[in-house]
Amino acid sequence: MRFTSTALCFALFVLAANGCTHVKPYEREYLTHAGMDRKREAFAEEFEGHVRDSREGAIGNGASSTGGGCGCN
Amino acid sequence: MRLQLKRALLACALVLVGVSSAYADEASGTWTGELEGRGNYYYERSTRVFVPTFKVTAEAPNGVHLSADYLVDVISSASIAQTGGGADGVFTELRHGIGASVGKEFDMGGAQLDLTVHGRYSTESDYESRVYGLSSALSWNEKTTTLTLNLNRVDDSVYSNVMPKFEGRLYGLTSALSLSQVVTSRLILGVGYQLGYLEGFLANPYRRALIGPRPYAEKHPGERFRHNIEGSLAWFIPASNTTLSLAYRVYVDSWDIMAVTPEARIYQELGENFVLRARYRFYTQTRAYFYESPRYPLGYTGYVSNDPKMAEFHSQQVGLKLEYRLAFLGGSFLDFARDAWLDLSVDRQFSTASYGNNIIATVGGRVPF
Repeated sequence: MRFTSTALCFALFVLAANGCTHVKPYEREYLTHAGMDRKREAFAEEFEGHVRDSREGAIGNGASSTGGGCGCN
Repeated sequence: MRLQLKRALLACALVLVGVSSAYADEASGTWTGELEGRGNYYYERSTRVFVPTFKVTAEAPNGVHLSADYLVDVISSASIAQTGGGADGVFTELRHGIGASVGKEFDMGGAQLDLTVHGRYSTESDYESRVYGLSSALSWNEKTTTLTLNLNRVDDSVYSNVMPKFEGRLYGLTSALSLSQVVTSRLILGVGYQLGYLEGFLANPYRRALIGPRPYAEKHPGERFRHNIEGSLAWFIPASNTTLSLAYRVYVDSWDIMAVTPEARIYQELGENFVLRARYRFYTQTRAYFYESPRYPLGYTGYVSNDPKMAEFHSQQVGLKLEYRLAFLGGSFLDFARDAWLDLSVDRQFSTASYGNNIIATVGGRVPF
């Protein structure tokens, strides 16, 4: 049930997103500014993700491994 | 400890050597990429971690892209568990990790498909981790819409420094599906879902939980399903050159842990060469169904845990980061680094978990070529 709801929300978002205003490449100057693309900070935040992995019960912090580092399985 | 510091310094030296080779690539004019080096530091009441790390990425004109990274963890901690004694002792441990990826972007007319395979290996005295997988990203509408799917396989070996015959295995599969949409010329929305499945040894070989007055080895369930849903928004405000970035995550798993993580960031450009980032992050979670503190009742026979991250707790994190572009090097003999950035960040986290509060500090730099 939970998975079905998630998939439904995701599908709705895809459909809604495709109906948005089309932004041409030459209109994307603002999208290059700091903070608009979090992938630019991905490597810088891997360490924090690893820390969260060993100090918090949740995932979703960018951590790439389930274990290792100070024996905190 | 001195030997470990020498190794850490050697890693930093390798980063500097890498900067030189990056310039050589720029001269050839055929590949572009970036070299990034960082020094990370973590401080909490009984643990210190120092992690020098570097990464190089490169992309060929035909869409092939490569990356490689290396890190070394220098961990100092005060722990009864790992020293095996009856009182706190200080131990220091090293972890080495390497990662690599290779991929290619395929142009399919109205859409682009990027396929990447990646792998990561890390080793320390009591843990070996192997993670490998496939990432794919499909973009269309002139790259205003990007759908990403990641699949990972985890294969870890767990050992104990105080029980030489102990060996545990941990297997896992993780998948992540996300969608990013450029909505307007200054607004990007994103949603994502992650599913993780772990099986095998999911406890810690050092930790002991009290059943009545006596300590027993930690025993966790042998499998765990994890779900994470997240949404994000990035909005640029031209009048002040400010970006507002918001994220919200909801996590649930089969151990009855539920967590919610809202986060807000503000990026303020200060002239052409400075960026200041301020952030606030809140985290709260419920406890695992088998977690009891400070002890389990006498005669208890179910799963037992003494893991603080299985407990109910919440935390608040505030942080500042300053980035500076080395534009003043333009025209000098270091002209290749005129678009390089240096950054410094400090985050303070206030947590009700028994680990206590912590500080994360990083300094780094990246040089495009």
